[in-house]
Amino acid sequence: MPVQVIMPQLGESVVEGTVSKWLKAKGDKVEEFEPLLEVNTDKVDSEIPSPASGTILEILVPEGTTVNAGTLLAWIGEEGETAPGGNGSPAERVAVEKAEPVPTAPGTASSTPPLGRDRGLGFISPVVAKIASEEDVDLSQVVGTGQSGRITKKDVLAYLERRREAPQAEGRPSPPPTAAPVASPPPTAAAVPGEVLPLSTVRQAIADHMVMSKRTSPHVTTVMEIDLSRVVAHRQANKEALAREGVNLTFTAYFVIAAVNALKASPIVNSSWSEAGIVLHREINIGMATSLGEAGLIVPVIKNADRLSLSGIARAVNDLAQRARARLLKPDEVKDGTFTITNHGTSGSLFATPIINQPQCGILGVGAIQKRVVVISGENSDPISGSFDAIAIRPMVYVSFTFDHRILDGAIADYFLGTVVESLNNWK
Amino acid sequence: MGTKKAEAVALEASIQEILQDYRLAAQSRQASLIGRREVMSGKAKFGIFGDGKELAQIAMAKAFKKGDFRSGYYRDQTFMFAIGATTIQEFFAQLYAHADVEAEPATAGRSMNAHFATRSLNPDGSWKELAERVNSSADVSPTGSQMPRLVGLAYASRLYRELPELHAYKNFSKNGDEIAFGTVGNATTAEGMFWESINAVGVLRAPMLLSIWDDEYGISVSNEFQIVKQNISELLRGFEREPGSREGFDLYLVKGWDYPALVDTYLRAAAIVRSEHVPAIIHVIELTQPQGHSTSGSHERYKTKERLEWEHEHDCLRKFREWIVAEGIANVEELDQIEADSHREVEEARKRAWQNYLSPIQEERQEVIQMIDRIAASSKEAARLAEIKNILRSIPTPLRRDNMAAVRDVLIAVRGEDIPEKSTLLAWKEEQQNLNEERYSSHLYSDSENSALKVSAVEPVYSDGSPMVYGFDILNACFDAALARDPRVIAFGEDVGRLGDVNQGFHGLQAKYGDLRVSDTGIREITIAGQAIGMALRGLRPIAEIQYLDYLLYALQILSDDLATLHWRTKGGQKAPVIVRTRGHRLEGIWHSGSPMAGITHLLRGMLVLVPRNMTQAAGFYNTMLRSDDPALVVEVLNGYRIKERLPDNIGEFTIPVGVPEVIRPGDDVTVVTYGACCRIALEAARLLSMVGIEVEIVDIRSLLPFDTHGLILKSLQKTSRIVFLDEDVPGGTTAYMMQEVLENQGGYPWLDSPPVTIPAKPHRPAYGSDGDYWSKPNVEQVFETVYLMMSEVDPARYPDLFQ
Repeated sequence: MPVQVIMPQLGESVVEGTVSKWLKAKGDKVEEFEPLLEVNTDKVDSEIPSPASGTILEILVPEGTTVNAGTLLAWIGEEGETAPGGNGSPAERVAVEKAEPVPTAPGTASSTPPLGRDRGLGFISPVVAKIASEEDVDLSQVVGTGQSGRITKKDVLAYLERRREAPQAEGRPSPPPTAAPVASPPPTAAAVPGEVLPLSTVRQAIADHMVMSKRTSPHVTTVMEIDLSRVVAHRQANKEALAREGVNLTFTAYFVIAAVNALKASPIVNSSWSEAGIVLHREINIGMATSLGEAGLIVPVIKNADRLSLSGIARAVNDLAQRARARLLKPDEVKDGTFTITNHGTSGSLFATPIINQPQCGILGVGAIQKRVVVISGENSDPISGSFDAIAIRPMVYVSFTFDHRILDGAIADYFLGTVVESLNNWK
Repeated sequence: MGTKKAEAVALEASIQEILQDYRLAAQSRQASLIGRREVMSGKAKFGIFGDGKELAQIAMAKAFKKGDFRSGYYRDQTFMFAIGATTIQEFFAQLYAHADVEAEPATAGRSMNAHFATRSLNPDGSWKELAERVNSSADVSPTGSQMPRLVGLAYASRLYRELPELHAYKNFSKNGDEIAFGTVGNATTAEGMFWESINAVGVLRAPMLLSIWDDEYGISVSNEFQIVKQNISELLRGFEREPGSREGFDLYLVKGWDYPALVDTYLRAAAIVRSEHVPAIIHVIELTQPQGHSTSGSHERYKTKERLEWEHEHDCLRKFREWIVAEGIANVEELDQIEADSHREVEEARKRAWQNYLSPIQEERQEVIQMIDRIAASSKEAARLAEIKNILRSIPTPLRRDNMAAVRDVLIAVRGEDIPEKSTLLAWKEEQQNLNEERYSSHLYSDSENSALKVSAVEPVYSDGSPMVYGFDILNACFDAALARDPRVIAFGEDVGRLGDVNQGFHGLQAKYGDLRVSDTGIREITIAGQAIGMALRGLRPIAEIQYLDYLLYALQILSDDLATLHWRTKGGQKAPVIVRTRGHRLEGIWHSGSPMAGITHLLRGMLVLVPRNMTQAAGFYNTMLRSDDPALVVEVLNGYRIKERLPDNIGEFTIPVGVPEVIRPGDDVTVVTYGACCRIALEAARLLSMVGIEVEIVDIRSLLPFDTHGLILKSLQKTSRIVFLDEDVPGGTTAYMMQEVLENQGGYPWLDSPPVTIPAKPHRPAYGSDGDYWSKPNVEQVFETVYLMMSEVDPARYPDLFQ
């Protein structure tokens, strides 16, 4: 069986060498370890010993040739034997494929079934936490595709992409400081035949938030009514002037001002519940629930409303409402509200018991303005009693205040709502 | 009497000069005595003095000329006073740690006392005219560490004399006439660095004049336990030159209290060293140490009564005084008057030093007290603030940290209070933080125009004719261009000369540029480094080769203690732009495959540590460093010399910026941060990963110090959110360093979506052979699996587990 003579690797990191001299010729006898040829590299000169005893059958690399380490140089065998395959024999080791390509087929990994949120969110990586915080993402809404359902950066980015594509009604206020809510499983709905409308992201978000709010705080609602005569007169007197400046002076602006005044008079209402204590907010940021019709509802926030005049508020209300409907709100324009006003009267409701926008303390509901017959009182006109009662027709509105009974008791809540009523009754 | 005076004059020292010497010796002694008193009274933390060695140093100073250099240690105050390089006031300023370069020009308060240095540099980092100045390299505490650089300081004179192309550099040398004066204690002659340096100086025939101050002790250990036969002169006799020969040393033995003999010996010895470039050693015996080693001990505890008595009798000042009186040069009253005057002068200098040191700190304290009062006026915590103020006010000699601590205490006390005056205090605190940052932490690296960070990048230029050549040919062409461009470039190391280095980077260059420009050295890593430091201190541009990275450990002590701290410890007073060239990471065997880069990087803060992945990158770094005045270590990739690269047309001109990583493969999935030989491993793993759909981005950091000054790795991490640190160092070594840089310093943490991973080598040294390498160091498959499993965790559907 013929033996190969291979160009050795002459020391560390030498990749090639030059055959400087063959010490044997074809047909010569050679003993194992007898010097067979001389090789030099840029670093060393060396004699190469024969790997076997026998006869030189073939010399494949002539003197003066530089070849890579591992190259077949010659064959040694029994006298009369022939070199296998001549010089065409591929003696250089073929590079071994190091790794089989791993199939990339998207198998519906049966080993990793999607896990429900009831196991918690799992490990939240720093970048996922960062994105969730910056983009106001409720991570319980994000489907994790990592190992054991971990939410990866890719997952949260995909969620954001979907949210951008979906109608922009995701503008929920800040998530509650408490643990993520667990959406209760729907009751088995298959009993009655019908159609299932798939839940949009927004629908699901609103649902979760409402359930969470009801579960979080004990809601109590108190109702009062306001005579808007002075407000109507004021609006009438100023509407046109403001319209020329491009501002639509809405009644909502007056309610915002009244709410701000009342919050200043009762700072405890501008607050949030926390386990450590009641957090009094320094800023007064008024959220304005804005309907988007079927697409749901969004609550843009007038930041630092206490620093704005009536016209400033009106301008902000116009701007936020318009951009809300045009889906042009920026993420931080729906964040950090400290109190919310919902103007359900626009759809004809007289009064309602709205749900608190967590983690706020309360929400002011404004009903429809109606001209109603009311009894009014006055003084000095009646010579006998010094006062009088009369029946009058006045623009009236019911306002409701739903509050977190953990923070407020009824008397304080009524005082607050009374302040709202007072400032509008006696608008100056 | 008259005749004796005449004899004294025959000594070539006038009576006036002798009495001036006595005055200087007395002043220096007073500085030692008062210095110890100051420490013992708590005004300084530590003191070490040159008492008992005054006379020999005065004699040495007589032989010292402009352009000469000293490399000594902490006993040399008298010499420094005598050559006018240090004043007594500056001596005390250093004792008090006065952090002001005007008051304490040697180290600006950064070094403990008696660590001397002259300032070779202008404030802008440019060289002063060293040939016209008295020069002292900057002392370090580790004994013997003055020896390696002494080799280079001395050898530089030989180069300046014998290389015609250096004759133009007259600001550094006048015909190579400068002597490098060394001083060393007797106990240090037991150290390896001493012997290695002596041998190197002898081989190099460098004009060194070394004094051995022999007081027969090394702290408490007597010569019996230090030196064979207790006599270093006798041991050195084998180095002595034969009459008429130029090989070897001249040896002198002289008593440290014998003034005329000392003066005569030094003048004679120096004349020969200077003119003939034959080194000399003066063994000065019978020295004493009247106050013991330092303020941290009392020699009465370990010296016998007889020894103490002998020291008293042989105190050089006492002997000098006796000689002056016996020779009739002055009488007892005159000498008493000199001593009294000396005492007064030293006390006055000390007082000025103390006042200059203390006044600004007291003024700062006053500012703090006033600010506290203003805050207290409107604070609920007035009582606590009064307490803080009173504690601060009652400190007899405040430190800056006392002032700062009080400010911080105040801020804690009034936290949550809304007091307008707080902003003044905060502004003061920030200002002081910045000032103290400058006082204690500036100048770790060059901030001159020639800082490595300011060398502008010049891209390599390739044309159709640019040939593919071996890596070592790239380096060879680079070094050839450097040697041709700048005559100050001097290359040396083991096998660098005749062989042209073991990997041929200098092949043929000795023949072309001569054996002084490209030289062989003995096997002596410590003094290869020291030779480079000394030469660079004198304006040359040494490229010192350590044959393998594993052998850098010999030299690491001196590079760390001396070179890396030099610019910082002199606050920009001295620089030594040395290039240490070595090769490492991956070859064969335990001591030819090491890559202990974290150990090196951490010990060499103050140097640049560059880790080019191939020889073009290495050449670019050499070009950059030769245009800068920072010292650098360049680690070439051992297994890269025979890999072919394209030779840039501008091989001598192109530069690679330091501190700027390069993305050598773009990808979106995982960032792999690596350097050196591991770049090839990472590239191969990336190729395989790409086949399974994972695209790795590979960042070659290229320089460990400075590390990614532009935050380029962060940019990659922001894209991928996954990061792997790969190298061949131990676990927790350089990979941990890189991770800290990226996650903490660059703020990479919040961008992570997968836990960060390191792939280092094993904690042991690499085992021999290809299999030893495979199981000791990171390999392609390991990188593949690590990255794959990371992606499998992220997306198990797409990347099913490899091992299930």
